Amino acid sequence: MADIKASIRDYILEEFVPDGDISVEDATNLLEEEVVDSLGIFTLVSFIENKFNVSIEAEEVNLDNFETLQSITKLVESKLG
Amino acid sequence: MSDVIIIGGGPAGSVLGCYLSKAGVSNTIIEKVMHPREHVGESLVSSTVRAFEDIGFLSTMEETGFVRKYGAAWHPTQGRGEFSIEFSEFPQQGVNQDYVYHVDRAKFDHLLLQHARDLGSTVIQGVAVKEVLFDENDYAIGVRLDVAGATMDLHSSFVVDCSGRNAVLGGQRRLREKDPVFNQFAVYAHFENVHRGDDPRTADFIHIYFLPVTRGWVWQIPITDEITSIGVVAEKSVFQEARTGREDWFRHHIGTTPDIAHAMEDAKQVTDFKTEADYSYSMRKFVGNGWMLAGDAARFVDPIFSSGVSVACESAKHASETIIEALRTGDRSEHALQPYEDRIKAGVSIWYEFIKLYYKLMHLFTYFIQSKEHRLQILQLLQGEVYDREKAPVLVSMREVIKTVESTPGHLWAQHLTDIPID
Repeated sequence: MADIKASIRDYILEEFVPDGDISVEDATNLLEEEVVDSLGIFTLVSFIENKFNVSIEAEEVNLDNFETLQSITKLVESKLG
Repeated sequence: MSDVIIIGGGPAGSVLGCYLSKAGVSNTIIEKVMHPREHVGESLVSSTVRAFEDIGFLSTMEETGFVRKYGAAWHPTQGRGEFSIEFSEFPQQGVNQDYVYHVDRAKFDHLLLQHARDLGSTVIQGVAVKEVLFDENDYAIGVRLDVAGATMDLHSSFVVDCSGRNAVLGGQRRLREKDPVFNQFAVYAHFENVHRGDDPRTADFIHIYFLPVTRGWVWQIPITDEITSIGVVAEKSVFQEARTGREDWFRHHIGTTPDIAHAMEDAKQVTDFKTEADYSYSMRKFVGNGWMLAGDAARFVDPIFSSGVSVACESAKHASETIIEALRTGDRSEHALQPYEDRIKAGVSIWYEFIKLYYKLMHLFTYFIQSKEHRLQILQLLQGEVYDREKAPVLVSMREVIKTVESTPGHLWAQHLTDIPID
């Protein structure tokens, strides 16, 4: 479980925070803090689908699921059952 | 007298001439200007390879050294690299290579017309068709030519209009219906020293850069190792409202997104700017007694997916089959030619639907490119396999995603959907 969160965090840091000037905590609001924009979510969705071998449906791309590292991790966990 | 008169010596006309000659059907291609001549539409999709193979033209494509096109890449407006696809991921039946070509259309069209002549077409250049001639039963019986100011009639059993957007026969019979949605405008030129991309793997792909204006995008198509075609496309009103000249307009849009600005940083313009406008339409009918329309002369859709030459080749192939059958049965009535229209209309309407959904989705299209579930189906369409609706379930999926995004409160992608109607 910690692995899931850690690998998503690593990906976000590597892909969206190249200068390392923003820290990404579990509860950091990714969109409000402008870590990831709504189009960046594409890359994130694609990363998650490939990394964890899950499928993310279009209706799941909402604020509830993608607001924070915590909520994304929860979404992935629920899919991995 | 030839069995078939073909109006126009672009790809549709030349490929049709080749198919007919191979089947022993005599044909005459009448081309208004002298080739080589310039033309827009420099990128091809891989289904065209099949037609080149059929007519023995593939070796010419290889020997001429046209730039090989292995895939396509899209760039977001905010510039964070690219999303790409490669044709090798989706092998196509009857296509034994994982690339197609970008072409200098002057050279490509000229070679194709020469090839048609080599295979047996009679080619007349520099002569305009004034009108198609009909008998008292409304059967096409030939064409009236303007030869250096004098009128001359040529007769045939079939007339196929391949005159592109000049649409000789569609104009004569008033068949043109302008598209209610697409009214695009393009400004383009050739450049040297374009930075085609930081990734050598995708540098010679076609690159599409999204622009932050209504249905706006830029094409980047490599023509030779040195020369790259760059075109800015947008809804025509975007150009009209800007109230600037085409050159300023082009340069303004090139500067609006980081990736294309970078690509053009050191670019040197080598041809004059050209424009294309008002360009989507369909003819009401593609066939009548003794006549058919092929390629752009039948229907022209937005060029975002480089579909033009593939529609030309596909319609040429099926027009030839229909003509061969009609010559065998002796029935050249509209009814006998109808299956041709049905097939080509179905194929082009899938292209059209794909294009419309694409423009509705715009940036969200990248979701489909990346999606495991939809990627291969998208590739299939992008590679020109559009003639079987059963095999295009992704169109339904695209509609569903649009519906989901529109109906889910607070959906993160809602702001990215454009306002064009999709039904």
